[in-house]
Amino acid sequence: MRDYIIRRVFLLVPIMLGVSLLTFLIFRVIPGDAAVLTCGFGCTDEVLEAIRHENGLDRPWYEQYGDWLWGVLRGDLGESVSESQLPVTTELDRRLPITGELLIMTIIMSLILGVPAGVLSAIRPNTPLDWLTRFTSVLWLSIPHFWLGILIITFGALWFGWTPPQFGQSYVPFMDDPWINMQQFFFPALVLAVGIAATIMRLTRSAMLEVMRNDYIRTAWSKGLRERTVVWRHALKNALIPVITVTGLQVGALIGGSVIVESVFNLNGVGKYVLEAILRRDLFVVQSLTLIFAAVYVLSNLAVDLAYAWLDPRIRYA
Amino acid sequence: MVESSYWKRFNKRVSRRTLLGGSAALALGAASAALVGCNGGTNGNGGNGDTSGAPSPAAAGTPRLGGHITLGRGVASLGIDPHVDLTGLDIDALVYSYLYSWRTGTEEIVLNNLAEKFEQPDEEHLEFIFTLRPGVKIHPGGPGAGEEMTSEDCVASFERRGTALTAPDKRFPHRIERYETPDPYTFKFVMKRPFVPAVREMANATWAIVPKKVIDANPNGLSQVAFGSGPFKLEEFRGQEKIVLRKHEDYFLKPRPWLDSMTNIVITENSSLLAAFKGGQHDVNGALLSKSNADDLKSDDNFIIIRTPSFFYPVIHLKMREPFENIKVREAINLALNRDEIINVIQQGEGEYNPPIQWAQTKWALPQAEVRAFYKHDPDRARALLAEADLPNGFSAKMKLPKLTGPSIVGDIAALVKDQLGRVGINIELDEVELGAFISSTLLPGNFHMAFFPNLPYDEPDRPLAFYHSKGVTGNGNWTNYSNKELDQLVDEQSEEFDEVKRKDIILKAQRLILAQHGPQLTLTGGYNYQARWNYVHFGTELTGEEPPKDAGPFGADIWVDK
Repeated sequence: MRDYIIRRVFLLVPIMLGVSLLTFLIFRVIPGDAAVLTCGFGCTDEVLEAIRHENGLDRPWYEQYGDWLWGVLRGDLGESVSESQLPVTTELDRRLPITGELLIMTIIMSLILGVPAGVLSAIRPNTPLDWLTRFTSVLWLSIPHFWLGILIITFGALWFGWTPPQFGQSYVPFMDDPWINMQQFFFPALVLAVGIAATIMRLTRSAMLEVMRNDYIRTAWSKGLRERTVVWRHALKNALIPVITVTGLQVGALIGGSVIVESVFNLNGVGKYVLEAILRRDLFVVQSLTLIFAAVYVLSNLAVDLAYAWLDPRIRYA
Repeated sequence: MVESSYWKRFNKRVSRRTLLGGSAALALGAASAALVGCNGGTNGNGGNGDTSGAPSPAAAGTPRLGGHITLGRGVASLGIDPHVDLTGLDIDALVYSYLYSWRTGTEEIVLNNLAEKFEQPDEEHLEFIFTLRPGVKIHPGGPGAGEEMTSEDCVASFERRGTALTAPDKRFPHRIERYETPDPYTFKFVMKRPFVPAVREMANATWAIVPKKVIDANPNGLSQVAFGSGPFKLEEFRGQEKIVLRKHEDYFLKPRPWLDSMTNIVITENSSLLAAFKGGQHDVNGALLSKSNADDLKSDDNFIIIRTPSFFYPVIHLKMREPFENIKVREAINLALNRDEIINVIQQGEGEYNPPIQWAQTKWALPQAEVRAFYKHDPDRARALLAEADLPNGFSAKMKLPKLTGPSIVGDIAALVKDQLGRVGINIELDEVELGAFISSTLLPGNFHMAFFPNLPYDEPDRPLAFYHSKGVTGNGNWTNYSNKELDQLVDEQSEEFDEVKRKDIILKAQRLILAQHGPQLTLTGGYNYQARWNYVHFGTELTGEEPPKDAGPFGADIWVDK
């Protein structure tokens, strides 16, 4: 197992190199760069070239990429090439905890919403409860994040005079004030969670239906075990393997979804940062964040693989 | 000096009115907002606003010391270097001092800041001599803390503004021949050639007077730090999240500023920004308000709504090649456009026709009646003109436009224009291009047949006219390849004519010439901006058009709350 983990971690290197190189090359291909946006509508060729020179954007691409990579190896993710010229690491220090908390809460909420509903739907098939659960899952899958977010904010303000605390103040860490922190994150996480919860709900239902037909479940029933024991102890653990896989894969989608939800709920996390950086053609910011996203994605997949072994003792990694 | 010059009025103001202000900053801040987010260019100043809702600012009572306000802000500020960054100019206007201010709408120049006296002894308007106010002190905590602002600071700031690589529009500083500082309170510069727009420029927020010691101590720029001598000092700057300002206790207009502090909260999603205002988290609204939003807020006595003419300036740019080099084709397009429909559909029934200079520049724009008479909507005549131009079946063209963040007004107008032109057989394909690509691949190389984008919401006539000059706004060439020597001459003439009456004649003549040419830019319509705040927040008189009190301060210094 240890060797497997080490091998997977080492695999991160070529993957991240590939991702960063691809990002860099894409930025070379698409028209416009940060210098153009800094220069603006009234730009002249001379000023544009001078800005490019000042920011090192006129050097050969392999030099720029090499310098950035060398910086990454030394823990320096570079600086924004926009007017702010802030180091990327300074921004990440502030923003990573926000997106991290949002993603963790989203995963927890989607599991809380999705798994029990899926189980209930499976053990009471073709009943009103099942129909309601299936209808709800389709509804949740269909609702766009931004629309649900705007509805919550608009009607929260209209009916209850409530708006998220981050509309008037900065991020408050959980340890500083749990109540404010929960108000800041509950609804954004809920908005992100409903789509994933719907997927989990449907997957749990189908996996449970499959598992409930197995011989060992029939044996458990015939031993006279209570329904709760059969379902939660014997069936669910086996039904969870595909659910865990899908949940792990959702991390990628979550990072994408967080871009929109962070904007709507004004959470100044990494998602909003990368969106603004892309619009500004801020190469090193986008490059560094892509690298981080790739790492998170690969590591979350590794965590999923490791969870298999815990859930199913038959699975062993050589 | 000529009788109707700007400077005559300038000196008259000195004697009977001390201060007013900061308006230029808001206008340019809004300009950058319009560029970044297409927010329609909130004017935020001027003497021609309508106030509705609870008590008018003039009747609001005696200002009180203390308190804090939170302002919503729809555009992130990447930096607050006043000479370079365009996205933080509203903050710069509160932190730095300026020589004087400019009251948009009335176009009055008022001494509200560093300069307390002005002289221009020569008939050619080449010399500018300012006598600075003593006792204007630099913010604590930075270089030169507590020291007085002097003429050396003015020179350092002007030179930096004129030479910084990314500083905007350098036509004015490039015409300055030399600076002189006979004593700490006298600042003089001499121009190579007269340049009337300089009068407006010096009041704009990019011409902040930054202490020389602050400039010297920050060779890498002032993007993230600020030490000025304005009514507020910068306490915290996180331009994409929040900006906190605290009262400058040693401000020269004590006891101003009335407020202890103010916080700008950045929320880039317009509906969230509006909800934050309605929900009471923001005292001053930062969201772009449509007419229906404003009407909704007006029904609540808790809010004060102010309506100001919008300098927002959406324009169709036509490249002077086939088929647009044919004036009949350009006229056909003009006749096919239904500007009333744009006003009704996009602007919710409230707006005016924009001549080459936006209608909101009421002093310089062609009269509305004349413009409306000229811009007739006549599809039949448009088809006939196309036939005369050997295009009886119309033609197809691609219209490029930038994909902007924020409300989709540019895209909405473009879609309506496409529909209107389609009715006479001109089939337009809309090509929405991401902003960076639009500037680099479309605009700068002039790579378009038709382009549609808003020009910045200028509040002075020179820049809108410069778009039609063969040298263009950059001085490097006209994006549309349009050239008209007579027009070039008029545009140049007006920029050197200090006599207002004569200048206006030239400007009107230039606009009529442009109208007759039906291009190369086709201006559409303009509307209004709405600002909203809770009724316990009181501004000075800069938004109401009322006569300000003699001791009024620049914008920000006169805000107070009775919450």
